[in-house]
Amino acid sequence: MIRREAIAWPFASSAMQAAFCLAIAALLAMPFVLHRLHAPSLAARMSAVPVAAGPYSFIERQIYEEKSDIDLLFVGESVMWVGVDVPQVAEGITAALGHTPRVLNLGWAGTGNDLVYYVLRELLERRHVRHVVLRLHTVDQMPVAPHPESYRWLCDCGDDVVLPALSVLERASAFGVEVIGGPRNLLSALRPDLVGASPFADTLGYYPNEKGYWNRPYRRLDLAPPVLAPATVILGPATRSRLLPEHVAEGPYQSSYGRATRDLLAAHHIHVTLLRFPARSEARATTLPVASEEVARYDGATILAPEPRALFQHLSDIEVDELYYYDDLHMNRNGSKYFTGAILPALVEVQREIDAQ
Amino acid sequence: MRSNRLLLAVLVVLCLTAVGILMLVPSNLLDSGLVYRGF
Repeated sequence: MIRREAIAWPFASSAMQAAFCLAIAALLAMPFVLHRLHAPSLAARMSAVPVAAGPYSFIERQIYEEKSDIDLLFVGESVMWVGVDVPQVAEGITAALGHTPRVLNLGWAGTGNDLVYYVLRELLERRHVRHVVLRLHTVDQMPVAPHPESYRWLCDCGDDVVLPALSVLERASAFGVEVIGGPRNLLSALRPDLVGASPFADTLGYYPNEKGYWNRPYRRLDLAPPVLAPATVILGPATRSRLLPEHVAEGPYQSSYGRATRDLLAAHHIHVTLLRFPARSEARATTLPVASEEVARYDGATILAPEPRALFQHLSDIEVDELYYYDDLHMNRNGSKYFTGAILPALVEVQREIDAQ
Repeated sequence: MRSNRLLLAVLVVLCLTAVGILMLVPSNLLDSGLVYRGF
């Protein structure tokens, strides 16, 4: 038999009980109050994110302080952030086309079309971008839930085209996300966050990660990438069968932000390229599963998807391991330099066609 | 006494609302987002 003891009433007085009620009410009301005050700004919200979660101070400066046009922008989650060596891309395009392009990698930790939309919306309001490269996801990486850091910047404000159109349940979920971010955003509204120089400015946003595969010791390799003809990397009618589209339950929240991103890029007449990174487990494969919804969403976009078997044909399994870290998807410095070098001729070709338009 | 009951009712409604809303927050924000320690 379980002995139960009476739980003491937690409040010593009615005043204490009323204060507790007021504290909960204030937390629940905080998103409404911050909307009303239009505070903190999205710039302030971004500058409050720790650098370990992404180069947000770099992203914030690129959006709100820099003014120059951008020729080629890689944007998206961590696989993009660690996977494309943009200084190498800039050098390659300069050597091939004779002009120095402005290339950036705006990537971060965590997946989500929501953050891609927010960053692009803010950026395109202020800077002219000619070519955007987005990640074509592996099937198991298609985003479903809000971005893990969305409590910092998600705001059901008047200029968000997605949240007001969602179902009541989805909007309530987004409101819950705003509630848990309320106290931190209130702090940003009360006093600014002091942002230092970004450690990612020297690499144009790219994160050359020096970690070994699944926490093994890292060893720097200088592997020569294979020479892949642009026609074998840029998918066309003859190579389109390399992609194996599958239905993936994306969820209304992320699919809505995905469509909003597509519409935003179309409204700014920006050339869109989808880049499919090979997972470690696909190293010897000749086909690549993708989400049919994502491919259909960007119908007409350029797709870069090198065949993994050709990409890694000269490497042993141990050498392929040394191109990755953290998990099956993320490339370390070795991998990003190898992969970037392999797709560079195709990227140059796409950039040459955009220049000619 | 009546005001105490009213206050109790307010407390119950607020707590249930807060718990209900937090239950709708996706778990990836609660178990990784809020305690994120680096990448």
